[in-house]
Amino acid sequence: MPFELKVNGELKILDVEPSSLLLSVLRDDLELSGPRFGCGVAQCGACTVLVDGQPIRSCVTPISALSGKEITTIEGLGNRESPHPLQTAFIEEQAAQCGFCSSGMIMSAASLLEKNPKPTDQDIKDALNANLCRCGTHTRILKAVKKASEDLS
Amino acid sequence: MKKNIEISRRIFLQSVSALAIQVTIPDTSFSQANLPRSISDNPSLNLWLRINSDKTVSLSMGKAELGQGIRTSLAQIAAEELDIHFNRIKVQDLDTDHSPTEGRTTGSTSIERSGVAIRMASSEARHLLLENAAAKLSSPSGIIDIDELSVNDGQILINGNSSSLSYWDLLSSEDFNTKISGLISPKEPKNHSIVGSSQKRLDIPAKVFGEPAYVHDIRMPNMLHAKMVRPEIDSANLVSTQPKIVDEIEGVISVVQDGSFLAVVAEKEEQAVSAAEALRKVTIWEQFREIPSQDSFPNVLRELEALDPEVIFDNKSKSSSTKSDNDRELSADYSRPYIAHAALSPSAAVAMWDGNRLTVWSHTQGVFELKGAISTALAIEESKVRCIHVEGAGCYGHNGADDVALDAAMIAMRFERQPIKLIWSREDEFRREPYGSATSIKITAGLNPSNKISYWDYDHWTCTHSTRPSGGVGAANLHASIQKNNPLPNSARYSLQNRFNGGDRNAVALYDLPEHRVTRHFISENPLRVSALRGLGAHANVFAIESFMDELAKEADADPISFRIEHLKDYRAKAVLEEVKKLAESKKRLEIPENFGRGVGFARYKNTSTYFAVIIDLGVNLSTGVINVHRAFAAVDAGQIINPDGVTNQIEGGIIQATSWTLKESVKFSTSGIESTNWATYPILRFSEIPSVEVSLINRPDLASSGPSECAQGPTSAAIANAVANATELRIRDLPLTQEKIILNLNS
Repeated sequence: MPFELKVNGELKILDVEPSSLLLSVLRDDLELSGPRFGCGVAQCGACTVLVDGQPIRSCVTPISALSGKEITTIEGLGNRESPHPLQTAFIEEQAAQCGFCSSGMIMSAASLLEKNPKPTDQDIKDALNANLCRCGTHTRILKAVKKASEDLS
Repeated sequence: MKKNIEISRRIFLQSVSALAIQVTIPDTSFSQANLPRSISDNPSLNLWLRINSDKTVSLSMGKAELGQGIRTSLAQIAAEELDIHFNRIKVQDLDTDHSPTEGRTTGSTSIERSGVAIRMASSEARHLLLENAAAKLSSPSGIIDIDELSVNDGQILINGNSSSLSYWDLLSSEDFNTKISGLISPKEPKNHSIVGSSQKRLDIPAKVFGEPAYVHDIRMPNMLHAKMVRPEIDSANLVSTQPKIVDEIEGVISVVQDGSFLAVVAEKEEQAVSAAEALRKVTIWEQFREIPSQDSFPNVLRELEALDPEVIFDNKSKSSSTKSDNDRELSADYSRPYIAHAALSPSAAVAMWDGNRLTVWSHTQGVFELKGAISTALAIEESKVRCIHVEGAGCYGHNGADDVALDAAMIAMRFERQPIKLIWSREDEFRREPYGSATSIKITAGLNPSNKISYWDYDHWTCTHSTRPSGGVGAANLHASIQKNNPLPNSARYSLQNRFNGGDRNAVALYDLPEHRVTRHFISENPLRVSALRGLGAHANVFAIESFMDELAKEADADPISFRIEHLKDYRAKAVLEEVKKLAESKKRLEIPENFGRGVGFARYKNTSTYFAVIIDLGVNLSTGVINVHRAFAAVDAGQIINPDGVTNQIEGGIIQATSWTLKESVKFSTSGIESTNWATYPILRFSEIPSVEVSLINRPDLASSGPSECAQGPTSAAIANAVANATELRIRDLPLTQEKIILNLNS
């Protein structure tokens, strides 16, 4: 049964079950690598994407809930030719080690900056508290988000 | 995967087009004995470097990118010696078909070993290119001597003036097909400009743009997806299952069973997940060995089957006894639990059997060792196995990376020319990975009337800290190798005799102690599967030693840093302690509502590697038992620093990860299964809990570089425990320092 999904500004017609999880559809059907699989139970944040600007965990979200909504993955946020200020700041601050959490961190931060362009450190920590980083690059991520907020203003 | 196919093709094209340089080979009538291992094992220069026609230089190395930035740092060393811009270096994939063999990427040794090798290869390549240039620039009327030549970003200069030649003009039909002599002196450190500068990591852009960057992102034509079906504990055999249950599930291709190895294969990953779940429900396992209950830890560690105690260090014989009846004796017991690597992503691999050769894409730390292990486990010739490194999530040691590679390979052998992608489930990652070993330690020491340590007796009880796979008997360390039909012997898993196992790492304190004895109690019975975790035995040993030094300092009524310095002779050790003290004291005291505590920790990793000292400022809430680690100050001496920001990143990460280990982490298990299966049952530090971290680097350009990635673990754990003692008078000696433990101790 064809299912329509709007991803990164493009309408995609997919031959998938409505019960399919968004992360599977993004990674396996649309061949996007940005949303990462970390836990499958909405505990780590590596799969975070935006739905109408709100960060959601794509690993537990069935696509049936997303009809007509705007889905943005990190690929839709920016790329090498046209990077989002957060992506530039993550490189500038070298805010990664293994980088497996980076996509999710950036998507959660992008949503924060939309709502709160001048976040305090505490605002950033609160917004990213459900995104796990195992390498311990939190302090760099904090700096990068701060830097991006300055660059955006 | 498109990316890798392209990469393979690129390597191939580079090999055929790459350049070629006519050279006079230096006198090779030298002894090879002094060459570093990486060079003597891979003496051919063209294994390391190729000059490409597109004005780049390809650099091959045997070390894997694990998110620690090693490939960037090693590229800096090559660019420095070659006198070319850093961005002209193209780091090649780590591939058993092409790369130099340099052992595993472990133990913070990559800069120490591979760095020396790449510096040697690069300085030799530069010399050969200059010899070739000198020959070309010379004419009957004027002989150009190599000493008149220098290089600016590949451009050849004669006495400082431009010549018509660059590296890229020095091409001929030969390439670097010569043996590295080791006779060419590298640059003086004072002339370094790329080494010692913070170059941006090569691997980060792909990660922040969400590009394919990990094994998990490999996509290939005809690829199938597999999922494992596994019991709750590794020591269980399959009794029965009902493969027919998955017949009705859409997309399922087959069930693969080989002894107790059970997997499903489907067209799409989500179909494989559903099928594995259905199969799990109808599969019955039987545990074949008991494990002690978690409640019996850490005491049970001293009761498990162990080899005879062995004194591994004893300097009593060398010094006259200073022990006297006036000494005050202190004794304390410390422990750490099983700690999980807990990579952010489950382990993954892709494997493909083409009818003749097996190719495995893996985030292993040792592609060559994995190749050997898979060859043994599958009983196929080693030449028929190729392993290619592709990054995974950060591993911090030996996690499930190698295991999943064999899993995928076993399945792929049943599907000719159909690549198999296998990503473990989160549960399997937690349950199957080999944990960092639980350890128990006892220290007894005397303080003489002038408050100096007069004797020091150290005993530690631990299982192995390394069960890494390799060809031959080491193949039994791969999880599936003991599950399959005709299993490899499982004795290597459950009854270990390898006493040289990393548990001794930093068991000998660096302090100048007059009567110093260290006794190893090697536990041969292995309750839970364990292997190398960041720092190996150094974490527990340094935690114990540095906690005990604080207890002694308190007994001596001495400042903890001064007390340490008084017991040290090594100037670099004293320098990091003095530096961290200066850094912390330059800052205002924290104003916090909780009880404030400050603690220090120090070690020289492995007693031969990086010097590290840390000061932790924290608060303890006496009513809730919550510890807030507010800030960390650190001083590091890793010899000559290659990439300052890279070192800082590793130290910051080490401190934050060690804070997580110290406050929260312990693998939960019952006698019949692992109960830590996700981030709720194995919580780690979150943004709301992280300290600020300030790092001071002590650069010593004239001293050998050492790796910084593991030095922070033990000192940070001890500094936190010491700060808690400073804040509350509570001395907690069993990790982790959980809220519950603080409350329990406050109330007792």
